[in-house]
Amino acid sequence: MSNLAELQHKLASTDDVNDQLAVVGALRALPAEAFAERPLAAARLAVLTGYTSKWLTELTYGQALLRGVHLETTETLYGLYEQALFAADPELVSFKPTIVYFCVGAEHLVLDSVESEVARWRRAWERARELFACDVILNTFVEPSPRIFGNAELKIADSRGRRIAELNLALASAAPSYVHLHDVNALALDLGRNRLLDPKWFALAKLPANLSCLPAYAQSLSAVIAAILGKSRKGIVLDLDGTLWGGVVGDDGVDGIRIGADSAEGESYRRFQSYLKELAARGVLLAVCSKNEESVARAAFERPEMVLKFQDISAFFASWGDKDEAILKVARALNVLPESLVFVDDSPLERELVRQRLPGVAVVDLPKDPAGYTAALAAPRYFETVFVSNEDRLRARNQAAELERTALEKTAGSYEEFLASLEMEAVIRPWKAEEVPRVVQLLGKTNQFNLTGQRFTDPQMLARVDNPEFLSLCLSLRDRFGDHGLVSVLAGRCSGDTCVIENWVMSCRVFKRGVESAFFNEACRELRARGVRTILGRLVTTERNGYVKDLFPSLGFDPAEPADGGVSTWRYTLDAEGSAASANSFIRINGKAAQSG
Amino acid sequence: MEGVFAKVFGRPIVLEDSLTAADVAGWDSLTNIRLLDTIERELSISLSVTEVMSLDSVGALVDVVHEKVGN
Repeated sequence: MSNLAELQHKLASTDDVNDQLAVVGALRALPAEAFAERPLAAARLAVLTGYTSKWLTELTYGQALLRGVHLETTETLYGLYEQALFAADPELVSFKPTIVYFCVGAEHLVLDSVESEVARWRRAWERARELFACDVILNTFVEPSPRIFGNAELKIADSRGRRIAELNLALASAAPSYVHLHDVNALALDLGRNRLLDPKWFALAKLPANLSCLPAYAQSLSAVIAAILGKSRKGIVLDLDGTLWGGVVGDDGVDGIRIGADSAEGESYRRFQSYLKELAARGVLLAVCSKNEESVARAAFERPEMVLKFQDISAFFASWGDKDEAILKVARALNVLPESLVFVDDSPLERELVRQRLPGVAVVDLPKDPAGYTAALAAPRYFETVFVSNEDRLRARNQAAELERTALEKTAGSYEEFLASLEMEAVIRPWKAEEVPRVVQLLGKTNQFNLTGQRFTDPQMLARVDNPEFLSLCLSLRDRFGDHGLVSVLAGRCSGDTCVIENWVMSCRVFKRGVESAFFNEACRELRARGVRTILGRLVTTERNGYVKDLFPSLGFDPAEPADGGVSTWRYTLDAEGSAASANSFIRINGKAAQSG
Repeated sequence: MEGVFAKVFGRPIVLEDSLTAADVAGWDSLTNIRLLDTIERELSISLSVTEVMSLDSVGALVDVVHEKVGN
């Protein structure tokens, strides 16, 4: 990773003001060429300040860089925010700002009346525009605390609280298109007004806000800057299972997923969908990348409790391929760069994959609890806007329903690196009596990786424990992200030198990692030791198990009988050496690295 | 305390009671603010404006901090 990329990663991973300032110091020390590797927008920011804003400026430099904006910065001397403009301060003039930011607050207001105060700021931004033809950013003013009139403050026309509330709205109305608000009043609501504006910080050093809040303040300001330069992100790529609803639609069925007001979980997902819907109405594009059968995924959108409808989705990709490939397809379909996209997925594994392979895509760190999804997506302010046009709203709708389905080919090299980085460990062995309930459950509820649909009872599976007439293997998997527990079961009946696979199921959570071939290799080893020469398998095709339609040929089976309706039979000959299934070197099996055969 | 100084200055600083701002490169009045904020957060204590204004050496700072943490 380059120096710039490393520093950006460090900056993005901390909220602490000291840590951020240290990283910004390092960024400022990089030579100009170091920034050439990223397509950055440039801007010249002049901070016209009524505070000691040096640290805020540095932090804003860092946050703007994370959003793809490389700033040159300057500040006027403390308190000279109007004078520098009206006197055409030579240093400011020679700096030629493209953005002028009034870093001011309630302590700088005169406020004889709302009208006179608006007129004052109008004179200031018109003067800036006249001198520099620049954009202007103006802080909103934070309402006072304590309120002299207490709860009655808003009813008293001349109270400071009422005046400031009216002032903010009047400034918003009076602002021409080149004047943008930085809503510090709203930031105070989010962070706690008395925490943000704890008076001791102004008393000690005339800081614009609590030192610990400056990173959030800078992040907020940088979002306005990025929006001015067109660097806001444009679209969200959404996973489905566990992200838009509770449960896995492929396993739980359309009626089994949790969405809607009848449970706390369903309600949380419903609220998240509402937030997404409002963003979409504003012009933010929504796309779906889900590891599901397309028909199943689409069917879920028919649930009446779904707030998002299929028409709200501008690009929809349901396939078993890797998410980073799918995200690139989304980018092409929506005609945007990956740097314009935000990825939302409840799986830490998928998030890490995308982070590693598509560093330009913003990946949201979702908390475990879906009640926190909206805040997690909103906090980084990816979608700030300086205006919303009708065009934005239409664009999202016009791009709806482009359904492409192509087979995805893995790019061998980097996918293998990713698999290796997972540090997967599998335990494959005959199941024990106490595991029978879980074995039966997995056989009963798995739909996608389910060869024959045959289900079993607890007594049946209990009878197979330590019973040489049967092959009774189960696989448990752990990886860097945690222990997945029992995820696959292989049940077979042996007689003489033949073993018939009665059913084989696998949880969809562990698809596409080589678990299939690892399990099969281990089963072959076990069977070879028992003197089995032939393995017979059956595939009963259903609406849900399209995922396994090529499983037998991929493992080296030959067709045994011609397919009859939806049922096909397959044969595998175990020779003395190895199995034909490709060696899987990324999963440690039973404590040792896997070998072929 | 040495950890706090290292965090704020970006390098290890050897602390002695008699150490003052004049002795350390990069320690200006603004740095005080960051030191105090970091100390407050890491030690979960609160320093008043008057207490802060009275501090003129590391020794004085350590004394005030000990008082607060002891209470």
